[in-house]
Amino acid sequence: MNTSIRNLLLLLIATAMWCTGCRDSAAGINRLRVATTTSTRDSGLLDELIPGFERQFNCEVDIIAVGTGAALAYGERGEVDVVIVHAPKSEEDFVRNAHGIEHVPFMQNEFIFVGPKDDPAELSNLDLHAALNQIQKENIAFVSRGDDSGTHKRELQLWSESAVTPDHENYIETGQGMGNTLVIANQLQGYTFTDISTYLKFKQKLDLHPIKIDSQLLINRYSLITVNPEKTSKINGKLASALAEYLQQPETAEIIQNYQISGRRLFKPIFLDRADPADETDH
Amino acid sequence: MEMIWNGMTDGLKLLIDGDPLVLDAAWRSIWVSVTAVFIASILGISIGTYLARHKFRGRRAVVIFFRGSMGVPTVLIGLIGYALLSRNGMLGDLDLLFTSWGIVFGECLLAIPIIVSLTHGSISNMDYRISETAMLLRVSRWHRWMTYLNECRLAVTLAVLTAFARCFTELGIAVMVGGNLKMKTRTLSTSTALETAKGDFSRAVAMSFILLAIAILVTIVIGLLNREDKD
Amino acid sequence: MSTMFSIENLVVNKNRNPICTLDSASASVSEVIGITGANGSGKSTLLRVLAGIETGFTGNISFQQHDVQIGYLHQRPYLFRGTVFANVTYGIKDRTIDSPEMQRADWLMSELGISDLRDRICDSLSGGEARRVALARTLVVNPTLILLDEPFSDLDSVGIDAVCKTLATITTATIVIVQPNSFPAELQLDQLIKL
Repeated sequence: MNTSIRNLLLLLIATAMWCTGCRDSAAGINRLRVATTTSTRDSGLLDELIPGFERQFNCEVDIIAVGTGAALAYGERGEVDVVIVHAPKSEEDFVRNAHGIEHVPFMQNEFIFVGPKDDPAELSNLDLHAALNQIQKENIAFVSRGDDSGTHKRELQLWSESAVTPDHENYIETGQGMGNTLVIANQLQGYTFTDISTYLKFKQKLDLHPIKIDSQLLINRYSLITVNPEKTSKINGKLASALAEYLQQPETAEIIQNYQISGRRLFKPIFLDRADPADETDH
Repeated sequence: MEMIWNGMTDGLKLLIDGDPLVLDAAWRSIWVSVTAVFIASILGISIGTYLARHKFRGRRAVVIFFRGSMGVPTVLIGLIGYALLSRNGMLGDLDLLFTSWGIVFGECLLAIPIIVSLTHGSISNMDYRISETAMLLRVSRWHRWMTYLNECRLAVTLAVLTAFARCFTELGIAVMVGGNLKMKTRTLSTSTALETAKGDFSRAVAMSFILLAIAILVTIVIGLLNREDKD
Repeated sequence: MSTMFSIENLVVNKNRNPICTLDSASASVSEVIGITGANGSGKSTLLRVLAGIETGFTGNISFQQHDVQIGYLHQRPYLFRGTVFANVTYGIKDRTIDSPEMQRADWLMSELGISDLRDRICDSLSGGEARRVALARTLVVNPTLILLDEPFSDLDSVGIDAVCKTLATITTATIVIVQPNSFPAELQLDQLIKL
C-alpha cells in the first residue's frame, strides 16, 4: 500500500514538474494578437518595435505571420486584435465593411526593379510605362513571382496601369517566394520586381542591381488596422488602440527610420516630425 | 553536397553556441510531442484494448474509423484543430489557440488513431490462450488488461514510438494551431519551414539535422529500454 | 456423493463438422475422471466445453454447484512474460507474504520440484518445467473442478510421480484428465470416458 501511494505521489510530482516545461505565457497576462504578412515579419522591424511596447504596457504581443489575404481574413473573423498589412485597396475594403476601426498608415518603402549589372535593356531612368513597354516589345527576360502574393499583385497592377500585357516569351512566372524568384532571375540574368528588404537580404548572393524607375505606383505603404471589437468579446480593443497610438509616436518613428539591413535603411516612417530630405533618395 | 555539409557544421555550431531560437524550438518539439503522446497513450491504449476485448454493435465501424483516421494529413488535422480552438470555435473559451497546449491538443488528434489502431490490432491478434488463462483464473479486469498489454508490449511500444515520431516531425498542426510565434510556439519543423521560406538554407538544413538527430536518438533510447527487460 | 456435472447429447460442431459427440456422462464431487480416445476424437474439445471456453455446441451440460471455480490446463500451456514465481502466483488475490494462498504457492512449487526455478524467466524453461509451472498456477487458486489436458507430456518419471502425488492430495475437487493413450499407473481413476 505504501509503495503504491508513494509511486502515485511521485507520478503527480513528476507530472507537475513536466508541465512547467510548457513555457506558455501565464494565464493572466494581457495579450495582443497581431496578424501581419510574412515579409513584414521577415524584415525584422517588428522585433525592434514590439519589445518597447510590451514593456511600456506590461503585455505580450503574439505576431502571427501569414499571407496578406489570410491576415485580413483573421481580422474579419475576429481571431486577431490588430492587422498590419500593406495592401491599400484591401485595407479600404476592410475598413469600409466595418471589420476594422482605426486605420493608421505608419510607414512606407518602395518596390524596386532589379536587373543585370550594366542594364543591357537600358531601362534606367525611363518612366514606368516606357520601361514595361520596352520589356514586352524587346522580349526581355523578366521573372515574376506569379504566386498571387502582395508583391505579385502589385506587379500585375503596374502592367495593367501601363496598358502593357506581359505576353512575351521571356516572361517567366516562378510561382514561388521572393527569395527563390530573385535567385532564378539571377541565374537568367534577367529583370525582376521585388520588395526592397528581401533584395537586401539576398544581395550578397546575387549579381542583380536596382534599376532606377520612378513611379508613385511603386510605393509600398504599411498600415495598422485595429479590428472591430464588436466582433467578439475576446478582442483586446484597448490594447489594440494602444498599439495604434504607439506607432504614431515620434520615438517609434525614429526607431523605424533608423532600422537598417546591410547598412541600408529600409522604411520611411510617416509620423516623423521633421522629414530629413537626405532619406528621400536611398537607392 | 556542400549545402548539406555546411548545414551540418552550422547546425552543430548553433547547438554548441546555445543559440536561443534553436534551443527553444528543440525543447518545444520535445515537450509538445512527449506530452501529446503521453495523453494519447493513456486514451489510445484504453480505447484500443476495449475495442479488442468487447463486442458491440458498430464495433467494426469504429475500428475502421480509427484505422482510416491514421491517414489524415496533418494539415487537415491542423485545420480541424484551428477550427475547434479559434475564438469562434467550439473550444474557443479554452484559449488554447497559438499556445503550446493547443499544439498538444492537435497532436493528440494525430496520435490517438495510431495508438488505438495498433493496440487494437495487436491485442485482438494475441494468442487465445492468454485471455483464456487470465479469465479462468478470475483475475480482475484491470489485472487482465495489464496482462494483455504486457504480453503485447512490443507492439504497444512500437505504436507509441510511431505516434511519437509522427508528432515530433509533423508540421501542419504546429503551424496552424500554434501560429509559429517566435520563442513561443515554434518547433523544429516549423522553424525549418520558416528558415527555408526566408531563404536561409543553411539554418534550415541545420534545424532539420537537429530534428533528425533527436528523433533518431529518442528512437534508439526507447529501443534499448525495450531490449533491456527481455533479459 | 453429490454430482458435480452431467452431460447429455453433446455435439460440438466446427464449420459444420462434428468434432466431438458424447451421449451422456456425469461426474461426482471428488471423482478423478480420465478421458481418452484416438487423435481427433474431441478429447480436448470436451475439456474446453467443460471449462466454458468452447461455446459452439448443442446438448445439455449442467453443473450442480453454483459458480464453480474452474482450473484449466491447456494442452500447450502459455506462461506469461516474467518469472516462474510471478506465473505461479498470478491468480492469487491476497498477496501478503504469509497469506494462505501464498503459502500454498510455495508448497505446490516444492511438491512439483520447481522451487529452485522460482526466479527464472519463463522463456528459458524446458517443456517439462514449464508444464509444471503452469500446473502449479492452475492449482494454487484451489479450484473445485480441475481440467487437465495431457498434463504428463514432457515429464520424466520423477515429474509424473510428483504430479500424481500432488493430485492425490486434492480430495475435495473433481479432476478430469485427458490423455492420448495410457494413464500413469499411480493415478487412481474413478471413471474412464472413451471417445
